[in-house]
Order: sequence, then structure tokens, then C-alpha cells
Amino acid sequence: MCKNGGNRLPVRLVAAWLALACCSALPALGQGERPAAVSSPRQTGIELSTPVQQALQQIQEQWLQWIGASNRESAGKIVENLLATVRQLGMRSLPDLSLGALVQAEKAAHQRDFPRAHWALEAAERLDPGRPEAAFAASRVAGIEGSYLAAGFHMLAGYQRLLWLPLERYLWGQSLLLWALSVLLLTGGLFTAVQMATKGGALYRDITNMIARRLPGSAGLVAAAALLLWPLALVPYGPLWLLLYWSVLLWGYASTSERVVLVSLWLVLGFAPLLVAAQRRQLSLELSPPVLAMENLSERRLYGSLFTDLGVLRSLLPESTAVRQLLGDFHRSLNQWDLARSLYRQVIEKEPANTAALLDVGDYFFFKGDYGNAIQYFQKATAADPANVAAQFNLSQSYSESYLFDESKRALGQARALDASRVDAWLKHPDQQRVVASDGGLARASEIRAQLTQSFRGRETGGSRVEVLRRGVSAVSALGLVLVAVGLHLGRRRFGYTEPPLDVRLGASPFDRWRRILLPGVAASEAGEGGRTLLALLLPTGLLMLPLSGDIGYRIPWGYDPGNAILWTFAVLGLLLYFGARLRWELTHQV
Amino acid sequence: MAVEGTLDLFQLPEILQLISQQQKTGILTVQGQNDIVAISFLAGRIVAADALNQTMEEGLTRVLVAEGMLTQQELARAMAEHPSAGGRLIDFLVERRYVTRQRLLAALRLQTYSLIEQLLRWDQGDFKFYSGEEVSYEEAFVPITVEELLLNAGNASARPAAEAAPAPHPARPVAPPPLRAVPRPEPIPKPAVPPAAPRTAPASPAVPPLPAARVAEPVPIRRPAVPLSPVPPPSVPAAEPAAPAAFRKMKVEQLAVPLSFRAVARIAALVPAILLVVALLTEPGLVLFPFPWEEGQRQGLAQEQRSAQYLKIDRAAKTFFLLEARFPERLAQLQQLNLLAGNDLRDSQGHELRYSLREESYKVQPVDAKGTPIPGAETTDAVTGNFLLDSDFISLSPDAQAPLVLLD
Repeated sequence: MCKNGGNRLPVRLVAAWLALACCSALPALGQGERPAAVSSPRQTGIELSTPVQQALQQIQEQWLQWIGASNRESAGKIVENLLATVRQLGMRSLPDLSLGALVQAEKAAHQRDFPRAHWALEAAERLDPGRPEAAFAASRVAGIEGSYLAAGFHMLAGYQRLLWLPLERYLWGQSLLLWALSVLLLTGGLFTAVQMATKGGALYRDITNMIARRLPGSAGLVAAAALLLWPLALVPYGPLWLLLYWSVLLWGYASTSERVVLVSLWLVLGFAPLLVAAQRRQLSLELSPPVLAMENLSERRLYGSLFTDLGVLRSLLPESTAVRQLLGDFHRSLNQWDLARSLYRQVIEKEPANTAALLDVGDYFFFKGDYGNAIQYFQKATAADPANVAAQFNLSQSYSESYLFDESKRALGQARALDASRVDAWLKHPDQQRVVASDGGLARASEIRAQLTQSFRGRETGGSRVEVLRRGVSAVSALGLVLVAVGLHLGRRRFGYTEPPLDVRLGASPFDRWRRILLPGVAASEAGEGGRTLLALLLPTGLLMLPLSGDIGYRIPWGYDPGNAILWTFAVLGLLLYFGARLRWELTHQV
Repeated sequence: MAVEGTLDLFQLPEILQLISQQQKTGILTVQGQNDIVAISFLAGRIVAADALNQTMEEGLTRVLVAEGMLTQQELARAMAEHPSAGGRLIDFLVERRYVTRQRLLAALRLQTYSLIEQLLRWDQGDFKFYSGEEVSYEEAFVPITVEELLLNAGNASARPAAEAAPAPHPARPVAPPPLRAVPRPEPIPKPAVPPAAPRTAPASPAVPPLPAARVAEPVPIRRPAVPLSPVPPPSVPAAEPAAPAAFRKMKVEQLAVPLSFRAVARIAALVPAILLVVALLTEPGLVLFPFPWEEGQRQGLAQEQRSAQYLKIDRAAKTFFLLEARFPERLAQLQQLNLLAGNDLRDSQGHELRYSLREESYKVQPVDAKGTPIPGAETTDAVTGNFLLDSDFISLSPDAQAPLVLLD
């Protein structure tokens, strides 16, 4: 687990959480009987029974066997064993081992041992199916092999897989938002700079004329220049202030469309902090160990720190019923029924009508052979939720085991009446455990997230009010800019405005032509076409910033990095196409 | 700004098309040998046209009679009554119900059409376009688009009104004699107003005087937000259209802004543009949070970005541990295995990440250019609590081992 020294509270306090976990773990078991042969939660905050520990140890040993495997068959068999072991723990995949296999695959490829590389890739895919990392590694191996088409195919497949994974997709989306905001703001800055370049001369001349009434000659020129450039002295934010200052001064020279663009950009600048702050709060939650653990648990991925991260969750929300139910589900999936029942009972104490918990406790008694108690809990579950198919089905099974066949048939009939297809599926399923369990805790993930958010917020109250005020200052400033610009225009209008020149737009020399091609937006700005100017700047700016998206946004924590080649390719090709199109346009319209 | 040139360098249709394409508002004057014609444009569309040698009222009454909207007798009576009534003749005709306003406007449009069609036959003369924010024109006049005008120009002779309307005196006949034989027309006097004339002032004072009746009724500023006539779409998306070829040959007169002023503005524009790009490359957070009071948010964002980055480094380091039973000695080793990218060795603010290794843990700390650690930004991690890496994680008692079974 990661211990981050920054202001991410949950991570910084990991040590404290673990300590808390140790203290809270035992009381969390409640007054119920503590099962025998259960490890102390000293390490993780989660108790592990001997069979579970043995299974974990078996995974370690099988992994070492896989590392030493010398052929595809034996390696394949070991992978099967690994997956069988992990299924015993109620899980489906082993992401850490999958990443290890990917590294082994690339190492083998570099040693020109391509058969080994390929079965290592297969192993990685089987150990954690559908991950983009496996596709990226396959792309790398194909590249080393010289199969560039396959490499490209795997690379694209990797990016496609990215969209199906919750955390990666979320981070990618958030990065995209930051990138888009940055592109927009940078384009806004460049838009203002273009306005300055095309209309600034007229502004300078008008101000010189106004000043010339009192300060004739070169003194007037210098004074006007000083009046226009003074924001540069505000180190280190001078250039920003200069842009903002000029954007206000140039309002009177701008066409309607340019004014619309200016106002939009000011508003984006003013409200972006509010947007990013909301995003950061959510991201802090998504990257916290407890949420990562919940995500992986819902996908049945057994990663190395899963137990520790769940321990953190318990220590963070020791009183949460939803967390207890989630941990109950986890223990149940590990086949630690005694621990699970203890937690479910605590849930039922708080929430007597919790159907999922009632069902799971009923299941516990059913597997113990205590059908009387099982029937009692299933009846409570059906009373709490008469439309619950699983409760009716389990009740039917319990009656059947108690030789109460009439009751069993009646309950089964009711279950069929509710959802015949599900009942048939349960009856026909080869792995049918005769009663159905319910992942009520996992279903409450959103509730747990909300509690975590509250918990984080509660710890942040110190400087947050000042921070909120600061964010508000930006928004108010943006609105203020609009008012100042309009006010200044109304005040200045009577002095008149000089018409800006059309240098770049009308120039016929080769230099002018290349300026039109290479300086997007300038000719449109001279013509007063605000939307066109913005678009002409937005596209190349976005393409130029594409390879920087990793630095602007959040690094996606995938275990195997695909590199930045695809973004560079898009950026270079896009820019070539863009400027090529501009050149073509210019050539087809030349004299 | 004014743009001027001569008709022997380029043709009038091209000038009209340029004005239309750029949706300019202003007055185009064309001076021939014997006449001057002024065409008023509103957002690139023609809203009025006048000739020096023929007042608008003269031309209009001829069209009204030719089109049968007014008889000769009615016209004579109206002309007789008008001086005593005062005001403009066209208003008088409407007020006295000689003609409806709709018909009068239609006739005015025909007359404008005809005048410009005649003008299109000129191939000698000077032109000058005065850009402005407003022009005078008859209220409710249906503007004539240049495209419409040019399309119909070929059919002009077919229209009786065109024949009836008096043509302005062309500078030269349609088949002109040799160019050198023609004396140069008198230059148009420069506008009376100074170059820095207010944009909001009516454009009419800046151009040669128009017939009094036309300028008597000022029209409010009409600079529509939505273009009145669509600009032909460029073939390249987001690339602004270049000026028409013929127009680039024109002599562009920069009446208002001397080069030195423009140069200062361009240098002033270049400074923040370059610094913006530098800021983006060195510290992208500055672009998102540029204000001084947003320092806290910049740091907060950087911290969150580091959290994601540290998670990535952690996964990579633990994968390395899984294979080598130890953490790497340098972060670069993780990059060599493609577990990290090159930019993962620096944080989002460009700080180098200093990596230090302990027995079963590691520490990553961003440092500034001088090697000073950034306070509160470090991360430490260990194998503790990881069932795959931590040898102490599984603590099976000897009793828990599988029993030894003796076969014999």
C-alpha cells in the first residue's frame, strides 16, 4: 500500500489506519464466537483462516513454479492450478501475477525466445483477462518480432480495452477534461495574443492620440506604450495580466463574434478552478486504497494488497453497516463463514430487514446443516422482501432438506412465479451450491463511497473555506472582466476607434502567403471572425498538446506502459494534415 | 481603412464579391470619366446605389412610369404639388397614395439593380471602398446580394425596366478605344474626416457627397450578429479563407495604423504567447490556474497527479519485486522493463523524482532543480501487507501443515 506524504489524507494516515484496524478488528467481530484457527489481523486488519492462508501460500509456490517452467504445457498447467486456487478464494484473477508474466514475455522476446514470450503472454491474459496491459505487451513483443501490423493491432486493442475498465476509464476521462481545459485556456491566451497582434496597433495609435493632447511627440508614444505594457512588470504573472488587460482594452475593436469568444474564454478561466476542485475531490476518493479494494473485489481480482486495503476501509468507517456487510461478503467468498456470519449478524442488528444479510446468515446455517435456523432466516428474508426470488428459492431448499416437501414445493412455486428463468438456472447450474448467496455488501458500494467522501470532507474542514473563497475569486474576476470591458468601451466609444489593418489577409507576397499558412487565425482575426480565429488556433494547439496529455492530466496507473508513440503519431500526422490543407487552400486561391 | 484601385487591374465583379464575402459594411465609389457611382453595402449586401449625374428621384420616377406604376399625368401632378408640400418626393408619392410603399420599394430595387448592371460594363475608372459601421438606405429596402446581381447581370437587357432606367454615363464605351488615349479621370477627393474617424459615425460623410434626398434619413446602426448572406464555406475546416486572388493585387491603403504601432503590438503579443507555451511545457498547472491566489489549487492538483503517478510507480516496483525478490535500485530500471514511461521519472510539475531504496521498502521524493526535496510530496512504500511479496504475511503454525502420512 502506498503511503503518500502529500495532502491526501487517507494515504498519509495509512500507518494510523493500520493501527486503528488492529484495534478495531477484534471488536468488529462482535460478541459472536471467534472462530478457531484464524490469524491475527495484525498484518492487514482482515482475519485469515488457515485454509485461506494455505491457499495464498499455494499461489506463491505456484507462481515460483511458473517462473521456472520451461515449456508451454507445464506453464499452462500451472496457470490452471493458479486459477483453481484463486477460485477457491472466491476470486477470478491475479492481476499482479499477470503483470509479472507480461514482463517475462518481453524479456523472453528480447532474448529472441518468442515461443516463451507467447506462452507468457497467454498466461498473462488468462491470469487477468481483458486488461490493456496484456495487449500493450503483446504489441511490444510483436514489434520485437517484426510483426508491425500485429503490433499496431494489439496497441489499438489495448486502448480499446481501456474503455472497459472503471478506474482507468475514469482517470482517462478526468485527464481528458484537464487536457481539454488546458487546450481551451492556452488557445484563449493565443487568441488574445492574435487579437493583440492584429488590432493592437490600432489600439496603440488611438491611445497615443488621446495622450498626445497633453504629451506631444515621443513622450506621448512612450507614455502610451507604458500604459499598454505595465502589466508585464507584475512578475511572475505579468504575461497573464498583460493578456487579460489587453483582452479588455481590445473589446471595442472586436467584432460581435470575437466578443462572444472573449466572454466565453473569461468564463472558462474563471470557472475552471471550481470544476477542477470538484474533480480533485472525486479523484482523491477513487485513488484511495479502500475504493481500489472495492473495485477489485467487485471484479474478483485478488491483488497483493487487497487484504490490507480492505483493512483500511474497515478502520476508516468502523461503524458503517455497509462496510460490515461488504466485509461479510468478502469473508464469505473466502469461505470464512464464521467470520462472515459474525459480521452479518451485526448488520441485521442495525438493519433487521436487510434481506441480503438475512439470506447470507440463512445460508450459513444451511451449510452447517442447521436447517431449522436456516428456515427461520429465509422466512425473515421473504417477509422483508416478498419479491425476492433467492429468498423463496433458499426457503424451498431448506424445507426440502428438512423433509417438508409440501412447503418446499410451495416456496419453489412462489420463486418460479417471481422469476422462473433464474430459478431454473440455479437448479441446472453444475456449481449449484443448493442455496443462493447475496452480495448485499458489494451492492452498497456507492453508499460506502458516499460515507468515505463524508469522512474525507470531515478531515479537510480546516482550510477549505478559504480555499472555496479563493476559487470564487476567479469566477467573480471573470464576471468583473466582462463588466469592465463593456464599461470601458462605452466610455471610450465617443473618442472613436481606428480600423485595424488587413496586412496578412490581403498581402500577396510569398511572405504574406506563408504567414497566412503558418500563423493560423491571424487572417481571420483581421477580418473580425472570432469563431473562425478560435477554431483555427484550437486545432493545432490541441494537436500540439496531445503528447503532453500525460503531464497535464493524471498518469493512468497501468502496470505496463504503452509509451507515448501513438499520441505523438496522431499529433504529427494531424499537424501535417492541418498545415497541408492550409497550404493547399492557399495554393488553389493564389493569383 | 480604405481600399482603392483601378478597374484595369481587376474587374468590378471581383470587388463586389470580396465585399460580399467579407460581409463588409461601407460605401464603394467608382469614378469614371463623366460620372461617379456610389454603392452602399450593409454586411456585404447592396442596399443603395446612386449616380452623380442622376439623382435617385429622377431614376426612380422613370422606373415608376416605365413599369406602369405611375402615369405621366400623375407624375406631372405630383411634381407640381410636391414643392409646396416639401419633404422627399418619394415620401410625398406614398403619402398622397400615388403609389404604395411596397411598389415604390420594388421600383427602387429595380432602379438600383439597373444602375449597378450598367456600372458592371465599365472597364475604366477608379474605385475606392470606405469601410464603416453604418450606411444610409431606404428603410425596408430588400437588399440585393452580389451573387444575385451577378447571376442576373446577363439577363439585364431582357428586363424592360432596365431599358427604361437611365444608365450612368460609362467612363468608356463597352468596346473602348486604346487605353492610352483616354485621359485619367479626376482623382476622388480624400474623405474630409481624419483617418481616425469614429467607427460609429455614419459612413456617408466620409465619402463623396450623395444626393441629399438619400442621406436625409439616417438609419440606425445595423451590424447583424448573424450574417445576412452566407459566406461560401472554405474547403478546409477551421482555416480562414484567403482573400480572393484579384484583391491581393490591390493597393491596400493603411490609412490609420503606421507600421511602428503595429510592430509594437506584435512584439507585445509575442511575449505572452511564447511565455504561455513555455509555462505549459514546464508547469502545465499554470495554464489551468494562472492567478496568484490559485497557488493552493495548483499544489492540490499537482498532489493529486502525483497520487496517480505514485500508484503507477508502486505497481511497477512491486511487479519488479515479484520477479526479482527485491525492489529496483533505480526507477530507470522500471522504465527499461516498460513498466514506467520516461515522463514517469518526473512529476507533473517537472520535478525529478529521487528514489531511495531500503531493504523491503522504497521512498520516492520529488526534488527541485537544486536537489531540494519538495516538502510533503514524498511517498514511501513497502512490501508489508502484500501477500505475494511479504514473507511475514502468511503465518501458518506448524500444526496447520499437512499431516505426515506413513505409508508403511
